[in-house]
Amino acid sequence: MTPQTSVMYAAPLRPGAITIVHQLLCSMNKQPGIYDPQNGLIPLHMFPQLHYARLLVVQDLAGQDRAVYGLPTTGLPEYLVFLAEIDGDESEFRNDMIRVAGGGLATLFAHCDTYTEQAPLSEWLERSRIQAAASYVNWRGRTVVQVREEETLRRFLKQKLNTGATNESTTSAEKTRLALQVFVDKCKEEGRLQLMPPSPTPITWSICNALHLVAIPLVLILVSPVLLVLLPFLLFQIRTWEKNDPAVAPPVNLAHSEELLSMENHEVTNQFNVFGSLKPGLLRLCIVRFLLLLTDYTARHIYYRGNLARVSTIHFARWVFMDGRKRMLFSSIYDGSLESYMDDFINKVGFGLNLTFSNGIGYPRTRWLLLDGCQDEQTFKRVLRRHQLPTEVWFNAHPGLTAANKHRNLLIRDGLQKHSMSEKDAAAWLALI
Amino acid sequence: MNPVAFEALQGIVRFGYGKLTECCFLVVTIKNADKARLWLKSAPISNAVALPEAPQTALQIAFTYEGLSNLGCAVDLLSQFSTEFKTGLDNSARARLLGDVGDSAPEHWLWGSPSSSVDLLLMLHARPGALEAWKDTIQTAVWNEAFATVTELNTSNLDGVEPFGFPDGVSQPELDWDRSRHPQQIEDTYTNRISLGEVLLGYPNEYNRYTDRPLLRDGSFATHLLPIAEDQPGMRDFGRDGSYLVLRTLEQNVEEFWRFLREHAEDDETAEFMAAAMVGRRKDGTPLVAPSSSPILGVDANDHRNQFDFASDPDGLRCPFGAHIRRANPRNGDLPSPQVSGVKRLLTLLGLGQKTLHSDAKASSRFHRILRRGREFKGASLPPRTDTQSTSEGIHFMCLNANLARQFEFLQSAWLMSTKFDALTDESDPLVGNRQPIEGAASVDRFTLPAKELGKRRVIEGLPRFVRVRGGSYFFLPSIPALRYLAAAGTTTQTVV
Repeated sequence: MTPQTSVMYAAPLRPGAITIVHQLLCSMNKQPGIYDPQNGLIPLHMFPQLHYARLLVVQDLAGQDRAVYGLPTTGLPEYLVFLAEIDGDESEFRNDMIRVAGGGLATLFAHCDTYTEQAPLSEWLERSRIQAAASYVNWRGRTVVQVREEETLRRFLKQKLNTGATNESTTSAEKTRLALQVFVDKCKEEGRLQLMPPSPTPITWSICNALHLVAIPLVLILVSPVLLVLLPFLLFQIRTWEKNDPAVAPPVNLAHSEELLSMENHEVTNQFNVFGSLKPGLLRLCIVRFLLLLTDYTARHIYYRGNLARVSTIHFARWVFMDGRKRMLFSSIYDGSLESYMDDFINKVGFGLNLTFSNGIGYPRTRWLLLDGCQDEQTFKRVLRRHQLPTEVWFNAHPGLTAANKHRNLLIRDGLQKHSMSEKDAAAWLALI
Repeated sequence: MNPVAFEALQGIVRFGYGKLTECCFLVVTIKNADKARLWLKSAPISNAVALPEAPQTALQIAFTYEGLSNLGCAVDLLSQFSTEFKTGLDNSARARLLGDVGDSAPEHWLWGSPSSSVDLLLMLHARPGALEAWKDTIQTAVWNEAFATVTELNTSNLDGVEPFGFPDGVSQPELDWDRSRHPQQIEDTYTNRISLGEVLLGYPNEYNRYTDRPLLRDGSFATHLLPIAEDQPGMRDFGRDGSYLVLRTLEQNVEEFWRFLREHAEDDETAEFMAAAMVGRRKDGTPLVAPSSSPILGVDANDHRNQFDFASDPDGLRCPFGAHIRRANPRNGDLPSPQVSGVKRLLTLLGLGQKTLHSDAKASSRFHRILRRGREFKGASLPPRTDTQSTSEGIHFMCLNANLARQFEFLQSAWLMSTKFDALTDESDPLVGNRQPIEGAASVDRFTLPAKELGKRRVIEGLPRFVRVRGGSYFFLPSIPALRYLAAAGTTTQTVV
């Protein structure tokens, strides 16, 4: 099993560089929202381990809201950010990128404040890497190659069934399945079809994961007496905040929502990036960090097989602290339109949204951290749309494949490889194709 | 909580005017705003008060965003309308979202295209034989000075059967007129009765919140004509009792539809069966799934065409997952079926319960309902610019909703046009899908027919496009007080040609 890694490089832009960076990023597109494989900067489609990649300028579009907490509203850094969801190790990917597109990366990142030609690009990128506070992968271990191979397998099987080479109506479902098995083996032998077996799980990863699984609950148990004593005060404080924190949700600027919409829905999968300031104060930060730790833990040990709570349309997601944990970026890849994505969230995991986002400035009023909040549906959608960043470059290695498609293809492959199946199971399996 | 004042809302929200079988939609622009307001002052607009018997005639009015602007609406009022209403259907990004691409793209439309302008929609309904006289009554001398007709969309009385041959408008949500509904945060099962605020602005919606709408500070000019906003007593509610109206001219290629089915069927009976599978109902309106034994809130138990949901057909063996009516209204609650309780329910809420590919893949019905008021057309009823390929039959689809993005647009994009609805693969709506492929992905022109057993289902491929969008626009259907306000509160004497 090859674990996935969420990669993020971010560096503050030089003053005034935003225009030229915007132009450079646009040059990587055929049109807004559509990546151009012929672009002269980074051939994103050439990396066999890359699921999705994004390049964007991260800036607080609702920076003026910070005034409600007396925070400065200008002079905030703007970042050039590169996001990638990959199979395997970051260092390997980084080296691949530098080998293939070192020049393009340097052209882009040269507009960053911290960039220097003195150090090798690889070292600089590593220094500019930001780890997510929490990250989610729809299906851990499913690689780019696997997704591609399994989709090809499905199309092969579908075509075979259509051409009637296996006569469904007269034979049993199980016989059909076995016939398909033989067909696939033959195709594999002839080299027309490939189904790579999974790579072995890196041993260090397995050990770290096991330690993580145990260590976090252990620490929580150890500190729980202290937490229990503090809990009433904490809850009192949280309720006080909740009663007083203002929701800041003026209408979304029309040009802004038009720009975002122009980049969306070019195919079935979309990208989403929101960035904003956290409400000030150390205690709040502690609460956010604690909640994200729990989010990360559950994503790592519970929700890594097709769904994040009830939502099964998210491919990848991450929560990242920036600016010395004063601001936060949330970034995800999802299926469907933004409206359906938000509705899914509000109606299916409203509590999760409230937990992880309610410490952002402007979020609709929550109750006991879990309740209300995003149930104020339109206010919530406005807050998010206002903080949403245009993703200037967006690359998807699997156009047209939703998380459900990938899952279905995996079930098809698993079923095909089974030694034997009951007639009922075989019929259900055939229905998947 | 105030009861609904039926004299304050336009009749079409409450009535379908089924007895008024003659109907035409006038799409017009404003020539002279002053005259337009003058005409509006005395226009015989029908309200929603129930009469002992259906009236002889009815008139309803709705405005586009440009129309309100051209009428002289103040900027601070205009700015409070929803983004979707402001940017409209003829916007290329929105068209992509809604599937209006290829030869259905707005630039090819007969009306409502980006190069044409639309200000106003007049809906005229009349008893048989009375429409022409009704038109003359409305189109007074002042009318002629005030408006220019862009197009006249005529309709035909096909007895509620759309041109493919199936009854249309069978499933409608029941509005909570007596305001007794208090939606829970989680409604486990399907309900057909929805909060008034899902269709009318100024009332709580299914989230128990008031949908955004234009509000005006009390005391400014002519605002006394408007009701007080229920949720913000210092404000007057321009939106209350109003609704957003969508009108789209959908041309149906009936000949191609039946030709394709006969080509793929052994006999006429199979062709009819296939057509019924695509719709999800037989030609008499009977649904393909068995009636539900438990009562459904908002459905009359004797209404056999609506007393059902899809819980009894979890594998899509009777009614395919991709059938038109299963897409347009999945008839589900907020939680996946079958219903569970206790610990199992908690696990379901956390996404840890038992699940299949399909069990939790759809959004909940109640947040995505629309009230339909469309009419069919057949014969020489499309505008004169109709090209030779036109088949001149179809539906002038019309619906009302309070939130265009969450209701009409969601339903159209996530449910009807989506090739991924309910975890399906490579299927779009068999009737209205545009079959537009995704670059680099498999084609999307499949449809799975039902069968008694899994694995025996037949898939037909190569479905052509049967429905083409020929025109459309978003409108706002104001309340009667809001119309009075509009007539009184024009601020400019600007003339728009």
